[in-house]
Amino acid sequence: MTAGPVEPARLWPTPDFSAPADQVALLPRAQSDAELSAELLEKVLHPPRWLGTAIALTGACSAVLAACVVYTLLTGIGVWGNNIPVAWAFGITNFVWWIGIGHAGTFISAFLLLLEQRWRTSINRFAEAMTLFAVVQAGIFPLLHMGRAWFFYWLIPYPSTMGVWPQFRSSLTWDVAAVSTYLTVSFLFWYLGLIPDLAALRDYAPERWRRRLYAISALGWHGSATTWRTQRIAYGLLAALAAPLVVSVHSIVSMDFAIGVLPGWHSTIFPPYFVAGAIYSGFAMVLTLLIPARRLYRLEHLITTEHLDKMAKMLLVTGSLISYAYVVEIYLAWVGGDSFERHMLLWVRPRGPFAPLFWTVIACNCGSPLFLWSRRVRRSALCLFTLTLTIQLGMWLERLMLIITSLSADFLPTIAHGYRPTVIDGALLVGTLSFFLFLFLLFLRFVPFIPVSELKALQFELRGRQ
Amino acid sequence: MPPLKSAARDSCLDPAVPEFDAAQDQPPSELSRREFLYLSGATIALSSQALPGCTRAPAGKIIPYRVQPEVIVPGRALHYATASTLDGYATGILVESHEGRPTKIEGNPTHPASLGACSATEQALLLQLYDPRRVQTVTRRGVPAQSRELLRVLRAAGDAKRGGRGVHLVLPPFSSPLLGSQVAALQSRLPELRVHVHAPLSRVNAWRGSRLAFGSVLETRVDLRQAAVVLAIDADLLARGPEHLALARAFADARRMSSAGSPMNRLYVAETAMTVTGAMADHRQAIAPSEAPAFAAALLHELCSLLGSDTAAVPAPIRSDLSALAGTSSVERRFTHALARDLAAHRGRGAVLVGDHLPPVVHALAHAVNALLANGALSYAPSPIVLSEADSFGSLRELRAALDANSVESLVVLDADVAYASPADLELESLIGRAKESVCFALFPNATWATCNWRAPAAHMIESWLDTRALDGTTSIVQPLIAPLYSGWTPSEVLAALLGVESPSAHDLLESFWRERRTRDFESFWEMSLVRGTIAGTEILQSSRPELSWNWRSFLEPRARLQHEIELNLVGDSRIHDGRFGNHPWLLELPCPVTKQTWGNAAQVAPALARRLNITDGDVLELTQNGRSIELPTLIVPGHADGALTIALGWGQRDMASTESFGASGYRLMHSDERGGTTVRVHATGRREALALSQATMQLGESADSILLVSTLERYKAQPRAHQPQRKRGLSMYVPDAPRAARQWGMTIDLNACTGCSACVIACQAENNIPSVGKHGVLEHREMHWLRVDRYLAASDSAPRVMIQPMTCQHCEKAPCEYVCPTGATVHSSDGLNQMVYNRCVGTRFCSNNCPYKVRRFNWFDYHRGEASPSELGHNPEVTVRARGVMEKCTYCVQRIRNAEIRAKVARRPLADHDVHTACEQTCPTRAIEFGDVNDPHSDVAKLRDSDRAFQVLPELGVEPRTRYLMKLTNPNPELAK
Amino acid sequence: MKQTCNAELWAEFESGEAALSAVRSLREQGFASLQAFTPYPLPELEEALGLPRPRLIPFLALVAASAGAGGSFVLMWWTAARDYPLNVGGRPLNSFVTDIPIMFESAVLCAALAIFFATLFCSGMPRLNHPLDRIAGFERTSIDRFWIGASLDRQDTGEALSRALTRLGAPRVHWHTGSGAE
Repeated sequence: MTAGPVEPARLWPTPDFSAPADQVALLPRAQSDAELSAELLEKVLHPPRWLGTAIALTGACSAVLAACVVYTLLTGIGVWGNNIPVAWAFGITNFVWWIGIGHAGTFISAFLLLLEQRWRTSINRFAEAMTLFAVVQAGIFPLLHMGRAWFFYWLIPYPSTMGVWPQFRSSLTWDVAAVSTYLTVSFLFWYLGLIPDLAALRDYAPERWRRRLYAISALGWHGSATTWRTQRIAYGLLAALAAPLVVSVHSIVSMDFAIGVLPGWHSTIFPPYFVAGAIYSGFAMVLTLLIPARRLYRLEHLITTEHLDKMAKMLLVTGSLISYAYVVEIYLAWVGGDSFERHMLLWVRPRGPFAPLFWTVIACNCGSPLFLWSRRVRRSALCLFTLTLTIQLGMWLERLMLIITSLSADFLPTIAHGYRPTVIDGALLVGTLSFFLFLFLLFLRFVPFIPVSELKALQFELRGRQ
Repeated sequence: MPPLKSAARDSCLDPAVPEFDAAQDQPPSELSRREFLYLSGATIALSSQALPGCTRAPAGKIIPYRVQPEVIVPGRALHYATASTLDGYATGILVESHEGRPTKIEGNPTHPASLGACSATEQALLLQLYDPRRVQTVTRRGVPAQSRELLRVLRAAGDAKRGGRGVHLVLPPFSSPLLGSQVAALQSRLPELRVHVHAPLSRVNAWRGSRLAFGSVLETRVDLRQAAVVLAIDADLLARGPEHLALARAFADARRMSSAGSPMNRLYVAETAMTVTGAMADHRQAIAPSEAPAFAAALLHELCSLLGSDTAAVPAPIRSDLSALAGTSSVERRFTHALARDLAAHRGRGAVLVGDHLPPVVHALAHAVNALLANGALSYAPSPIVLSEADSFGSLRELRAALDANSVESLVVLDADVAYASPADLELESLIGRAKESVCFALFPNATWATCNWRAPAAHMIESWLDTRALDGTTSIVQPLIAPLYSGWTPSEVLAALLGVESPSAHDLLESFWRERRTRDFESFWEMSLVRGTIAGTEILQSSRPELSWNWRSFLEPRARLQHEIELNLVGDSRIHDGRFGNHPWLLELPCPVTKQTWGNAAQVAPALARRLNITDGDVLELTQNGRSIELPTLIVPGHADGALTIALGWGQRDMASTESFGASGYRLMHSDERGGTTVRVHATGRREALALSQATMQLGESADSILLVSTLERYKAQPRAHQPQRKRGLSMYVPDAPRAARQWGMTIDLNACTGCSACVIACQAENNIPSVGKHGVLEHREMHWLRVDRYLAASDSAPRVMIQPMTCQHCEKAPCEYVCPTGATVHSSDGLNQMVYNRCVGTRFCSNNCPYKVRRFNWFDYHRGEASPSELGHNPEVTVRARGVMEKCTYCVQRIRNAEIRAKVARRPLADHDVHTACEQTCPTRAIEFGDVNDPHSDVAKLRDSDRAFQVLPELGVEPRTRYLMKLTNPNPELAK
Repeated sequence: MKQTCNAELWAEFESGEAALSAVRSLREQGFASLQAFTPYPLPELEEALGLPRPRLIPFLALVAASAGAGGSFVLMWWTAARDYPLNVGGRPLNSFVTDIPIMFESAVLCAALAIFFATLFCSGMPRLNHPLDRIAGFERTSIDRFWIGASLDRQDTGEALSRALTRLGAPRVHWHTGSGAE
């Protein structure tokens, strides 16, 4: 069978993945295990020429991040645009945004695995790696935004000479637990799935040093039936753990605001609202990375239009959830009878000094996904790419808007004050973006970013279906 | 030994150099025997002084307030009584001293002009003392010179043989008996000596007014406790003037409303710019400066018709002139009429007061009104100010003429910035150079200092021996707490030098002066006056009813109304006065009580005028008056008189602050014939300048009731508890099980008494080592003030109702800042304090975000690092200097609480109600702030807490603030209310 | 893993299907204790081999999770209410509600770690060499080759098994002595 446009009649709607159509959609080109392995492993052993340049470039930009971090640590948070009342701004925005992006990977891996969505197979490792690096970025900011970052370990319970302990009623200590757990678990999950492919590279790579390298990182995997079984069970269990973890992490992050008393923060709908937003921006980020990679690595037959289409649908769903959350939030404020909250949500945000920000957010997060109702948009890589960029911008601005509007005009009118970011704020944002890309490109360079064995298994399974 | 001693002092005590010189860090081998003896000698010399360690004991025996220790107890602060002088009038103060370092200034309870309170400017003297930018050396044409040479120059100028030809002496207004006798001696010794008093904000007009009315210079004194109806015509009596502290206290006492039944006075204000007093008014009428005479005349006219036969004393011609002048009054008759009826209704229990700068005739009219009404609250007495009778008082025209004629041999300027702070048409800055010898004694390198060829350091008040008098004549001995840091001269020393004294010493001059006057039992007298800070029996006795004369009708002719022109209203600045504090970080950063502007002045205009000129806040205006022009940003002030433009004086000094200059100098537009009243041409440049306002908006939102409560006297008396919000406590999952101490600290702030004068802000800053962040910091909203004074406006733009609310940490019992801190750096003490543990803070700033009152401050930078020596000597050693990256906030002055507790424990006595005073409470002129144990039902704070007027800010949050506020009441005239 | 010092017989298959049918028929023919090495997971094959379901890992996960949750609660309760009690915002010293998020996170963390390391342990990892590596071309197991094997008893020459394997389409059959996996 050959790849190419597939008639909607056969594809849409197809909830039942056992249909042969599925094979066409997800693995259009039938390949022998050898071919498949060769193709995928070669991409790691002989990366395209542009990769080196890209790595160097992003690495250089990451130096900006390092410089800004050092400058901030030596001079003080004063080099940022923050003030009283707006004591949080870009730093926390970046944190929440990155963490949110980090949710898509685990979501794709864990949830879709549990739901036996086979289309996850060719993209899950990609997404998981994205998660890891996003969480790494997210980890930077809570540390950096502290006035005395060098004492970050005071948030960790250890028997100190002062005899004092962290204060566990604060959502910031919850963050420490949540983020570190999330980072560890997603790493274990990612690595456990990666081991067989590392073994494959070990056995496939021509150069001795690679064999050594991959031999060590594969931990001596040999793929006996028993090991496979254990690994699959463990993988399933981890997925079962990771799924609720994904939900919990962003719920906890949302509590950084929800446990506060500020109008516009103090709201019970934050956890689900933030989780939806997280997955929304996460999927957008996966697509943003996937679409160029798929093109540059010539992977259209593995990451097919069908994949894009399904992810676009996820975007549509989460986008609608977000829009719903916005409506509910405003409605609750309207009927809630708290004059401060009403003022915040009905005046400050839509009509106040930050109104442009607010309306941009609405346009990006509620407006742009509407295009995804059109099948042609969903299946056009270019449209999707632009949309995902818009959505990510929208989600970043949404976090910023939530944070600074509520802070800039809370209870007493006398202390109301605006916010203007500094160059350092901007540089930090650019820096963290490039550092993320840098790590991601390194991943592309050294790790089989499409799960080889899982694909082969899928192929086998689908062959069996016919 | 003496030379050695002085040498040692220099090496050890010049704060610029480390405590011990470098030789000491070197190995002993380097230290020769001679050096060793030298140093040990120095040590002995030092330890032989009264104070241990490396302190600067002042010359002469100084005696602390109340308590007299044999030796200084390290860690135990001492209070010395002395007095600060502004425009010649004294305010008694206590200076707190830690191991010989003055660290805090407080009011002297036994001094009539202070009553224990203190204004921002007196507080600020402390930092001024330690300011490294002070003049430190004697120079001649820029070259360092010996004080001996300067002494020789002065003695030459004072040479009796020359009779003082061409010798001009410029002084600030002074009330010091010592200086008075010295000046008199000088004038008799040098008949041709010319003495000029430099007083940009003098009371000359008031004195001229009293001359018109009573034929002699009399100071008007008022006891506001006895006044039921008060009218202030452009008089900021609660915040400016020689005894505003006492006036504010009396005013507040008359409005304290301890019970719903108690009486309350009524305040009418007619003024141009919105002032602190105007903000407290029950009825406020905005009038342009030129309208004041007409308004006063209209009032007198109304009264004449009201009182009828009782006003027979008013001669007919005056009556006719009055009616003519009254006709030109632009104030609507309804107001004048109601006011007159109210005054007439309270005959003998009213008071009409007039701003110093208004024309003499207005003062005369006010005197007439008070006399007609036989207002008992007022009394009159000769001025304590020396030379106040002189016609030329405060006028520098003669000096200018002399300089023009090149007839000035030697010009001696004592602590008076004539070059800067004088009408621009005198052009003194350029002319001073014409004097053959010009000597300037200044605290800071100001404009005059820059133009004189002899430049010498003046001694700071806290460094000098002097005497001074309050408005009522009460005399205080000014005793130094520290030897002059830069060997500055006191005025008495300079005058003594002119009188030919060999080596004048301020202490000896003062002591011998008083020894002559108190012959018997001098020692005890001297000690007693030093201890108490006042000399008993020095008050000037007052005549309650001086004979009123009516021969001033010549002043009554109606002056042409200034149509379609903008009047210029130059006023003293509420913080830097006439500019003498123009480089003081605390005062520059203290928000103006009215406009909330910091680090600069502005062109204040009414909203209506702004609309006509089509300008908004921050638009830079070019203001021109007879050829001279300055540029200032616009600042729209609701309630400002339409058709007038107000500029605060004292800004825009280049020389004084070695840093940039802030604002622009109103003196450039001042004319030497009279202050204000003239007109100014306004032209918008089209440029904009950011105003460093500490407060973004003054408008209360829709949820005003949960922020502050205001009511009128009638409504309150009708139902005292009607205003109590009937909100019940929200449900809580949490039952606190933390231990509670028997003592629970709390605070109440009476919004009915608070005038918003902002003295508390500076008191807090001084007590708690709070840094200033500079103009940029304010623009970025990074002020560090623990205590801020919020200001809200209601009602219309033309007649706004002002509400003041000092806001600081409320010490919530369910503090939202505490549970969000991840490290437990802010927690609750068992006695109810919301504590901030700097050492444990990592600076997440979550606490600030979650504080509904936004009273927490963050150290964005290492603010104390840039501090130049010796400023740090002024820090309070009992309060941590906070590092970069930590949060800080009001602690209820926990150091004072613990101090008092320890004292009580040592003395084995229970802590009494008023043993603890927070810095803000202590300095508050109106006693609006009350602090104490809310658990003790007999404590004043507990009583106020459950008074009818008590309320919480933002009660619906259920954070249970420990600080409560008392509702503001206004007492409008029913006639005008409708 | 149990060591056997006697010979093993290993046959290579080129497709999963072949390996699967081979195992199935071998089991029918009564050959027990078969083992397999595959490049990707073949659930059917595992069924055919009759491998036991590993119960250890889920159990460990449960234990670790409860330990994590319990331990973190004890820590928070002890530090806040016993070791250093402080009045924080008027909240009770032991405010259980606010402990829940951290308890959950710790449970997940401990469980995840337990699962991962248990997996490594059960499958004898990490190990850097493997006896079967001596078989030429065995490294292709991780790419596209399937190996079926069985260890032979002393008296068994393995002829029958090797014939059976060749019949089932194995291109190559290897006699391999020395300790083998499991």
